[in-house]
Amino acid sequence: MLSLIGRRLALSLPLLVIVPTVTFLLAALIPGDVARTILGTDATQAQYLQLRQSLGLNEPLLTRYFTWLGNALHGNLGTSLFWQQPVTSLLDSRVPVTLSLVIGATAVATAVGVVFGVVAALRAGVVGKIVDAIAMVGLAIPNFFLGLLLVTWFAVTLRAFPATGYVPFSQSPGDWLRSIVLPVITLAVPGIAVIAKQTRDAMLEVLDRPFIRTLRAAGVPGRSIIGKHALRNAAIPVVTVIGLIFIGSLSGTVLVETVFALPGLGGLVVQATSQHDLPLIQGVAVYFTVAVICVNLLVDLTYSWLDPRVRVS
Amino acid sequence: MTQDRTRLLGIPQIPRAGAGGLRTLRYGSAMLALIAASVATACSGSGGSSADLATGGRVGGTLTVAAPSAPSSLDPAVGQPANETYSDLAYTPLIVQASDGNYQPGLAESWSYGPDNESFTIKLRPGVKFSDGTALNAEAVKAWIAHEMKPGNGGASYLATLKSVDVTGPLTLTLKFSSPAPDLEMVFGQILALGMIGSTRAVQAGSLAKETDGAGPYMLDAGATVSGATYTYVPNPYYWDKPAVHWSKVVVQVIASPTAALQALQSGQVQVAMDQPVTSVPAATKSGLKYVDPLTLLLGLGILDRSGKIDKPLGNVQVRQALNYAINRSALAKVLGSGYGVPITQMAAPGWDSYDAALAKAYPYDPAKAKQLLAAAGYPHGFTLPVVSVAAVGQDLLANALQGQLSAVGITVKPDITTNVGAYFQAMSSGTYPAATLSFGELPAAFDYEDLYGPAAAFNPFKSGSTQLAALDGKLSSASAGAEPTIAEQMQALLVDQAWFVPVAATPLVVLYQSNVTGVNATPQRNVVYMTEIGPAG
Repeated sequence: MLSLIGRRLALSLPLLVIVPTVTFLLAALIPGDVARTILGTDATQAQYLQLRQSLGLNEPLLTRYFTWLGNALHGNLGTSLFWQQPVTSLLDSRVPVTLSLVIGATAVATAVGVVFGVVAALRAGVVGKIVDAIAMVGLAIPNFFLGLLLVTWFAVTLRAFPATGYVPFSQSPGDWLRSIVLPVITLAVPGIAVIAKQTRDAMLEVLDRPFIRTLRAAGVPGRSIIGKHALRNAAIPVVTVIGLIFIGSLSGTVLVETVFALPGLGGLVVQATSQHDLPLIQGVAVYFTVAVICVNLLVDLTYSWLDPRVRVS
Repeated sequence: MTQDRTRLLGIPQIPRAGAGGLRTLRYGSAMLALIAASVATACSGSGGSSADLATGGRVGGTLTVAAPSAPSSLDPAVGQPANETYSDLAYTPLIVQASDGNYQPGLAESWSYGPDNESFTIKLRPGVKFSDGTALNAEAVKAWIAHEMKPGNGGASYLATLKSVDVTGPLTLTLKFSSPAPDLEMVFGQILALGMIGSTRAVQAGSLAKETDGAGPYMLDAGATVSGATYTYVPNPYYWDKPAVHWSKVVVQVIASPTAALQALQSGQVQVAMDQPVTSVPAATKSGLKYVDPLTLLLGLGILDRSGKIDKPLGNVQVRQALNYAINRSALAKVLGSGYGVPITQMAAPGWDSYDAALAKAYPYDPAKAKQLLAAAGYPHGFTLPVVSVAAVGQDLLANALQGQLSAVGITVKPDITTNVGAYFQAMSSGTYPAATLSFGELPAAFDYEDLYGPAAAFNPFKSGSTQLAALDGKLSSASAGAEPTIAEQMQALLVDQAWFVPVAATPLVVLYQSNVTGVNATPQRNVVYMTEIGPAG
């Protein structure tokens, strides 16, 4: 197992260089200038040039990149050009928000999606079609629109949940839960649809295999066949999709955090991009890349747990 | 005089500039705002306490306010859009402008001008302490002014003619200028905010960007603050005017989306939403919310290349006038202001001190006359006009509308619309575009020249000059308050005649609030809502 983890991590390490590098190059192409953004309209050209100098913007792009990379390898992601605060402290204060959303959405999407998928596979008639239809509707609704609807119904009309904002878990677990319910649902709905369809297809394929017929012939109870044998065999493609949904949810937070005014990484990267704050953009890229690597590793470990042949291969 | 700061260019995330930044507002994911303030009555004051505090000392629980953007720095000397929302809580200024426009004592107990407005003496209120417990005295104010005068900070613009700061006693000091310096009440009040003093300790420590240390009613609770998202303020234990502390906690939540801000208000989650677009008003009032519309945003086309350096036709005044005749302002005002817009033909809105009612019908919609003027100028088939714009506060909409309307007279507008405000400013001030869409808020007429159209103005990248305007600006700097409007109107008439701009519409920005708060004050005399005046109702 340790060897598997080691191999996967070794394969993932280049991502930590490649993704921030591509991000850096793309961000550098964005028109605009953080010095101009900071100074606004009235600064003189001399002030503008002075600020550019102090921010290190006069250095060649490659020099700035390698300086950043060297510092990053030592754990220093630099200082935000706009906020003038360490990038890590800005990001660390927002990680709990984004993680709450993404983990919550993935968990909800997995739980509901798997149940929907299994039901659809076992009840192929009307029930299956209804589940299918619900899943497709969930996939079709843009999540920002769904978010607005949820806020209108549950926050503005019923006042059951807050319309915006985030309460840290350490401050009040109950309020924390209330603050993430609507954004988590918003983020989870498309995932529910995808997982439900993937689960249904995989279950149908597994239920048609000879070993299932053998188990039934041997008198194994149906619940045990479904839960213990069929679902486990059908789980590998579903786990793959769950991993992808987690990763997709990271980008989904950009919209959801805007709709719900949540202080997470998604909203921060939007601000950083409009401010041309390269170190901050780079920092978010690194954090997101680490999250992707962790999720991929988790998916691989789950594969090996579900199917020991993966460890051997 | 070299100032500006209050003219806000309604763009989000644009900090107040160094040499005269805009202390403003904006809002967000979408748009923003701007602000500005009007100068009203200047007075020399004495005695009393900071006035205009709405609720007589009743202390509520938590006030939660939605703001459209966050400041890059909390240092009031650095400032930026939306900074007033934040700095007002922690920094009482030397001089307070009340909602009726009059100036009242703040940290300064009294003040007075010397001969020819070339000196200004301030006497500080005794017994005032910063939130770190250190005392406010004349030396602290002198140190603060030195901080303000650093390159990039506000004083470098607003006190550009300052010669010296002489401490004449523990609580008295005199500022001396090389030329007349009027309107210092505004400079040291909330609007231009140079009188929002931070402690010398904090200045020396360089900590004011991330924390507060002023002599205001509240101070930042850094532990409960997430930069760019949520700012929490708690009462300043050393504040000298306890009845002015209305809340046990004030939370400023950054909500860039106007829709999200409105929903937060409707759900009762926030009590006040600052600087919202006027389009939110119908839904807000339907939900029982209240609003004030203190801010007016002017939208128009700035003809930057007035000498025709890179776009030759613009050097001809007939061409510039043709642009003004070719615009259907009434139609555009309806669209840009969602029914609340007012067409304008000058760089001021009704009620502003430089507004001249006689100019209201200066350029009626007359495409035939526009074609006639173009032909007379030698461009019967029109010309090409590149315009830089930004997708904020309706500027992009304006750019596209201008493209359609001006094509009717043969002018081919080529809009270059960016979504990045910084890129827009850079392009607009680079001298590579002959025209730009503009949005800005009210500024006292005395500041217009340097801020908007004088040779040093940010909106004048080609450094166009006019000896007549320069002469009038000189007169305005030393004019009495009563004479200012007349001179300002003369300047406005010159601008309209020379058609340096194509003003289009004035649209309001609003502050929305629930009925359980009071003190959301804005008047024609002081068109800014201040957080410290908001208190619990009842």
